[in-house]
Amino acid sequence: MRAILKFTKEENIRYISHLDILRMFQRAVKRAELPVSYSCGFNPHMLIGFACALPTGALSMAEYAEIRLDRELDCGMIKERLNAVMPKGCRILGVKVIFEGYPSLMAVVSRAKYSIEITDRSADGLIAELVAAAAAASEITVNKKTKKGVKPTDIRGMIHNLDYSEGAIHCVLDAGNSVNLRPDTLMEYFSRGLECFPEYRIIRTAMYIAQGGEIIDAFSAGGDSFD
Amino acid sequence: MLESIFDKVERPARYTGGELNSVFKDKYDVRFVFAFPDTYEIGMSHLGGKIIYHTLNAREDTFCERVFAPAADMEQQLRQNGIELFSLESRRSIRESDLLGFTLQYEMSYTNILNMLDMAGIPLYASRRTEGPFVFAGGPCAYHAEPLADFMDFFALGDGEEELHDLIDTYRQWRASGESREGFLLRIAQVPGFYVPSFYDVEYNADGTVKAIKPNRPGVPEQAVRRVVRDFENTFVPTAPIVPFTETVHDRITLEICRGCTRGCRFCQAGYIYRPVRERSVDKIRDMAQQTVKATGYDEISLSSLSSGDYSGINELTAALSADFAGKHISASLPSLRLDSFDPAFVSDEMRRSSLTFAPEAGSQRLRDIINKNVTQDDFENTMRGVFKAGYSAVKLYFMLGLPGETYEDIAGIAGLAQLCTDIYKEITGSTKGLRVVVSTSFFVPKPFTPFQWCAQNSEQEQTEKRRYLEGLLRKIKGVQYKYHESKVCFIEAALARGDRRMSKVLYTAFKKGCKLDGWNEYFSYTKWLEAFDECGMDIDFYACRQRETDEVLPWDTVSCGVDKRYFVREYNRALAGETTPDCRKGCTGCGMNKLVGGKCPCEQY
Repeated sequence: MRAILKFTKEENIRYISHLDILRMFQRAVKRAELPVSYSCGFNPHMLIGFACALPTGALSMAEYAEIRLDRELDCGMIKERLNAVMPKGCRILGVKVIFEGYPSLMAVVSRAKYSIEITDRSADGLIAELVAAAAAASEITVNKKTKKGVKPTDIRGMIHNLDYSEGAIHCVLDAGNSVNLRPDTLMEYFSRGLECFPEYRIIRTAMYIAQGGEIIDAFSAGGDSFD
Repeated sequence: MLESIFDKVERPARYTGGELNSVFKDKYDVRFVFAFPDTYEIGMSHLGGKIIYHTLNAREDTFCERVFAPAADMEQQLRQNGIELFSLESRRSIRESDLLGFTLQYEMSYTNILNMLDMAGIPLYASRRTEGPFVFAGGPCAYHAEPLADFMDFFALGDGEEELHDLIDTYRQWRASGESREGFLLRIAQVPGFYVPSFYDVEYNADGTVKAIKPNRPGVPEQAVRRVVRDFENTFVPTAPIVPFTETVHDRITLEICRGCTRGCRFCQAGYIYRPVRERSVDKIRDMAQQTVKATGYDEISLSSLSSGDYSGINELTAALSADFAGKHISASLPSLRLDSFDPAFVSDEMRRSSLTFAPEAGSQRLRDIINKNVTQDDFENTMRGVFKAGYSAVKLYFMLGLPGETYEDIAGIAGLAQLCTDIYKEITGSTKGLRVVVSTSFFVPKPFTPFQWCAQNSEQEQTEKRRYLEGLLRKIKGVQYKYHESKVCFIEAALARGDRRMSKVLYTAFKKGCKLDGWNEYFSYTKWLEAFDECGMDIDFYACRQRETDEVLPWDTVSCGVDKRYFVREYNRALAGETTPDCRKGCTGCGMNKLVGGKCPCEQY
């Protein structure tokens, strides 16, 4: 069976890398004694995949993994067993079956929503201005790391729904395999707009996929919930 | 504040703690900080630290935390921002602890210790500490850490899992007594296994050798003797060890199947300081494996000991583990395989590796006899044959250069073995195609508590000449690659290993010059170290390259590892005569350990 898992990356595991998360999951799956499937060949590895890496230092309430199991298991049971063995800072929020033919999550991830909390509110007004200016701009050029190296790139088209309210920058950014704008790249751009940009925390609050011509929440992947 | 620093450094997960199975307490009497003087990824691969961490935290009255040497970028952030070096669990300065214990795994970590104390605002010299934690050190180098004597309040010798509990009990008793700090040191000096260097005065001869080392107050033993854990089968095992988030050198379960070694290779300090050999039963190990897999989720188990092939139940154990974990995608591996106890079954199927490593150590039987590495050319041939027949084509062979009594003929013997290896491969597979033999050499560093503790290390010039000679010979052999450990580090290591107390000046000067993370190529500065020796008026050759007489008073004579010094002299003389000493499992060779453990030596039962 195939399942997608929605999980959190909270304060305790804030500074671990994407690869660390993969290894953490692999060990948790083993501790939970889930009947996870392995690849064939000389060096079998667990069939667990992750959608869209999160920068180290960012938090998330909406991370996604998909897993393949050798036999059917109740989604509630998978969630319970994993939560019983996960290290502090990672909670499985939901588990859902995905039908066989569905593309891998990684392939359909389209956008991600972020809330960037500014800890020091004294620069509120200035930041609000910066954000408004960016939202109104038709072009924003930054040096962006692409597959072909670091190049000046117009990222305005990769930013959707940008605003600043109650001490946090809210935005939806392109994410996934084809076009991906990291939230820290956007924050580097904003940081340059102020002499001394205050400290902030990046929190991913949702992930979206492209399905049937629409952009929907990732947990809705594959159609109706099965559990 | 700390968050903004974590954002600026590489691999911040090394400083943030919170790992699975890590411990946090807010109610305790004693705060113990275990300090590994190198980076997290090195320190978290060390089994000893896990044993100590978990056995101490099992006590209600104690909170044991960890601290590691920060990488250079983190150190810069800490110093720039005026933040003291902090422990991973509670993120408090290590200065606010009761006991701060460093583990001495290798001499090149010593400057890290000074640096870490400095970063915590703890006075480096023990005599200047009037408050704050008692700072001490344990681990293999603690047997001969006179260069650190001025910086340590005391040393803990031998097996740690029982003596550290005595330490905490003693500490609590002292604190309740209201005595001065010296009162604590007087108490700990009475507890078996502990050595308080400030209670001994050292006198030197005009020629620079040690004249005498004597206690400077009553009630202090002439010699501090190590602790030996007797009931190894039932002693504490961390079956739920911390699981690091970030990659470390060894991301797997390490099960100590046996402690100690009976082979008596004369260059190997570990073989003497971890005596007597004590094995765990097969069932115990199987149980340890089950529990640890369940608590960690690792998929690799390492069956660790100084010579795993010698473990008496090795075949039974590997077969049982294979069955226990069948179909669960968990593999067990055996490190430290000897050429004379190798069985292809150790490295087949799930235990398959990409390449195998063996350590003949010396190229000729003559030299192997001198160093008591009782491995014959037949053993070598049989093992190579077995390895190649099992389908392996990549082999690493370790040798040492600069061993006592070595001649160029012996060095040529290394090339001879390499040639033999390729010949055997060719015999089995038909050609040298696909064969990858790596010959790796490093230079011998004489260590205390071995029969070679009186030997001179080869000079820089001798080393270069020998290495070039071997390089020329190996270049001609197809399928063989030569990798040599040409680092000047070995001279500093040799000097620190056999240093006396006066070397503390050099250590301090080196630290002041910025020497740190000396175990890392990119940081080690031979020039700065030589300058430090020079500025202190100390001659590095006196310590590293001087041949000593066996009646010389050694700086580490105040400490005993349980093996009688006369045994070392006897073995040294046997080495000079080219006589071997058999594995003491086959019959006691009289090293003196039995006196320490009382009655018959455990080695005899295996």
